Amino acid sequence: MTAFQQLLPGAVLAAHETPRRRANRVLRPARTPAGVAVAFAVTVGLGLTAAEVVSALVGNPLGWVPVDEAIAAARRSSWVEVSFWALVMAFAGVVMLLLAAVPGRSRLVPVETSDARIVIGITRIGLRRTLRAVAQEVEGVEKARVKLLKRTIEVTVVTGPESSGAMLKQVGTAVGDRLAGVGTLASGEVVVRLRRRGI
Amino acid sequence: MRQYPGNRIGLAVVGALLLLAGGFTWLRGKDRIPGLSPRARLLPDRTAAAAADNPWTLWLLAFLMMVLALVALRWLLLSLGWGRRGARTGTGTAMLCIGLKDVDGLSHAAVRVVGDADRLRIGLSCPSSADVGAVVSKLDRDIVGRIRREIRDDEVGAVVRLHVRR
Repeated sequence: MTAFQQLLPGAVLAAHETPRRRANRVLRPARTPAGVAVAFAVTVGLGLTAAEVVSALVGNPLGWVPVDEAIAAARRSSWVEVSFWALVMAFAGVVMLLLAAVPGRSRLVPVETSDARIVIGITRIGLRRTLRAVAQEVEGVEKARVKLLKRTIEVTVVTGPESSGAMLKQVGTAVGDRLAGVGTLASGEVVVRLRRRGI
Repeated sequence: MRQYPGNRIGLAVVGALLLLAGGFTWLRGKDRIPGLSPRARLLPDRTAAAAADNPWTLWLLAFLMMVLALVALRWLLLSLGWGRRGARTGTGTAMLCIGLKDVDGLSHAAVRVVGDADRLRIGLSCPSSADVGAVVSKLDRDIVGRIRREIRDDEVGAVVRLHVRR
């Protein structure tokens, strides 16, 4: 229940969340590699520096982090001398902000469910494999390759010298039926391409 | 139900601090900030002398760095999956396998309970010859609901990751 519904129990919200939006919110990338790298760098950097400062204050420097050299460099350098490194730092900041803000492409393709509390996702490679398998079951198809593009699903089939337009239609129907059966929420239209062997 | 937001929040905070510090340093170095000389030292002598005369400021600085390091350590552990992966439940896994007994070649089937039964994480892998549509339909209409009721109730959220192998 939203805060608005708590304030006004009888109120019905006009805009409902679509299943695709709901699934994408759960399945979108968690930015784990970037998060682990930055968290590790911050933890190690701050922890070691704090230990170095404390050990120097008690008169027994550890020598793990060159704090003295850094302070000496800061006392020697002027602001204009570090402009380049400031730009590098700002660029790294922009990259991190973009990683945090951009939703990104999920590794799982959301699937339609009957319950809002159930989110099912099929891996992209898994969806490609099941579509390729169904395309290869069509008579006359020797080999098939599936590409999941942003708005389309491209199926390229390799056939023998004697292939027909009906076969292409069959492949399209089979792939479309499998997609409908799985119930993917972000599939787009199916494009079938034909490659004849021996031509 | 939503994806773990900790990494995005942490990246946004660190990124914003880097952008602010880098931007300020660059602007000051290019003499774009009135009243602040670009030729001044990064650490003026009087600031260094004041810090040397008052050692408690360095103790305070070390304490702040240690607190931030502990916060970052918590973030690191969480981003590595601490407390988010959940514990495997044998009952749930058995129910999943029984519900999908018609599917030949099912593997890597597992049901995990995250937190205090706040959420279920279900994972399974089936061969490319399997009817994935039927598997999804069974999971959605029957199996996940039964597992949720067995673990806690119908209010529990469930995330299912389905993989198709060669």
